[in-house]
Amino acid sequence: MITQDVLDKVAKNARLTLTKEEAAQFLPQLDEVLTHFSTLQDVDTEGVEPSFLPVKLSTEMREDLPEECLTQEEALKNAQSKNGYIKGPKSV
Amino acid sequence: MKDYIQKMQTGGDIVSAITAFVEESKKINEDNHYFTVITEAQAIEQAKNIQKQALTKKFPLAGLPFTVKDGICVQGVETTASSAILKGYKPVFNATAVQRMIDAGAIFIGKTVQDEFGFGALGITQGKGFQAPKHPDDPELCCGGSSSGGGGFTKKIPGAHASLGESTGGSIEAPAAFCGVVGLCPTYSRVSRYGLLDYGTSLDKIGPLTKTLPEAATILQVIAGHDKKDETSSQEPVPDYAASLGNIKGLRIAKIKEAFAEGVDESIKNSVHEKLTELEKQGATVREVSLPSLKEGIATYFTIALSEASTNLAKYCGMRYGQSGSMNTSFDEYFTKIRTHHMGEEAKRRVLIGTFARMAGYRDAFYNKALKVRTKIIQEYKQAFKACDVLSSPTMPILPPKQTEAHNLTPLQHLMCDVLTVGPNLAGLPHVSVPAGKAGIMFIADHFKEEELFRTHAE
Repeated sequence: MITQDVLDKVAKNARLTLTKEEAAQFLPQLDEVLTHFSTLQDVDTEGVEPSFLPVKLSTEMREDLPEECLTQEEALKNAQSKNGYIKGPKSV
Repeated sequence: MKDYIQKMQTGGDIVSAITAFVEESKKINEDNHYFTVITEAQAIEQAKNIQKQALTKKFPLAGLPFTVKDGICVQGVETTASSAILKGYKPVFNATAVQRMIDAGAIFIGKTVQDEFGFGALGITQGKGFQAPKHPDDPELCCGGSSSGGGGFTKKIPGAHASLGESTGGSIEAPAAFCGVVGLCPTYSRVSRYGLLDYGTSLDKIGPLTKTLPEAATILQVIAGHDKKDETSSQEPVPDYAASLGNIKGLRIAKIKEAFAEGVDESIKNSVHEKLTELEKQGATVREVSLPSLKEGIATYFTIALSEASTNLAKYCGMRYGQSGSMNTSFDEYFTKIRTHHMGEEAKRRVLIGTFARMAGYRDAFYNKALKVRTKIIQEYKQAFKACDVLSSPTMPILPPKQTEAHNLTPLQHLMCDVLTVGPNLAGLPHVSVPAGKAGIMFIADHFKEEELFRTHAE
């Protein structure tokens, strides 16, 4: 079900670096779990719609009015910040 | 709880009661590791404040001490979902459920430990630097997860108390069943998720862990109801839950055939049957129903839950809250470094599985397929509720294992522990685990029919 190459790709997409030991441990474990999950492919779902949510919810829109929200100071309280902005690494 | 609240509403000494409660909590916590933080000074301050108002304003939960699962935000109190990646995060707001408890006069005592981000059925997979809580009756055993500290503490602490937990696939019910308390998971959207650190957006529900079913009804009454801060919270009116307590006569119970199959501990089946016989004697009817799609429950649930988790956890990248580090590097390198360093083993494994299930080339076969199987499971439940008021099954297939033994389970065996609870969670149905002998019996009702669960209360 899952090869070392696939695991490497998954880890890269998940932004995780696995040590050799972790990769050796995770590979058979993920294989066992995903092999079990793949039994879903045998279920007949012809004509069945997907359920993104378990209950139907009304999608009533609220009025587009300004309301009280966090102050800039509050929003930045848990972050590294500079000049009133959240500081981050280089994006490009 | 009822007597305690009445006393505090009519001039009882809330400050003394809370002071004593905090002392007892600290003592219990020394050996049992139920808390990530106990906020003593804040609790006493809040008690004084409620004391001043209690005689003029009738608080429905006057002076009631309550604890909160670590993954639910409490203003100014470190909130980490028991993950090292969020160490140091102090929210600047309360979760709506927490705010409603406080507004009702309840006193916040502290945050309870959990499996990292809710990733665990047994209560042994906390994040790096957190300790597993000990079972209230036998320190070698598991508390059940992921609201593990809340379950253990609710059993261990004498007197009036309620804990707010959260269930994605069984995280309220499992610790309730293992620790011998009541764990109520409401209908999806019944209680606002605002301020909850999300695991699975379409699956997460906040609910109470209490000593009795009437106490669970009292707490749900306070925290349920629409919240404009959570666009998925329901506008359905909230009924008077206490009114249906113990209304057993005529209650139509259907036990789920598949939940009594091979693999479920015989002593648990016996305890559940004894409880059902007791309810029958009090006027309920019990028959059997088959829900064949439930055999796909584990695969369906974890495919969806871990897919959602793998995207929800992407926001923990060392920028807005929690851990951060030197930013003299590219975004990808920084993000990878922070996550790799601070996420625990179970969290990494689950994020990898969820990422796989959503990846191009696999998405149709896994994630999209699971969403369709979920529809079939929901339809099957809906069909069953045409002929019964509540469904019933054991809560957990096993009695609490020793922590040392639980660590030897393979990841798939660990996921399988949720086999009986993933069904109602996938379908967003309200359900409750109530003690039955040394096990837990689970009752499941139709959407927004929590009152049917309260009918099962036997005096």
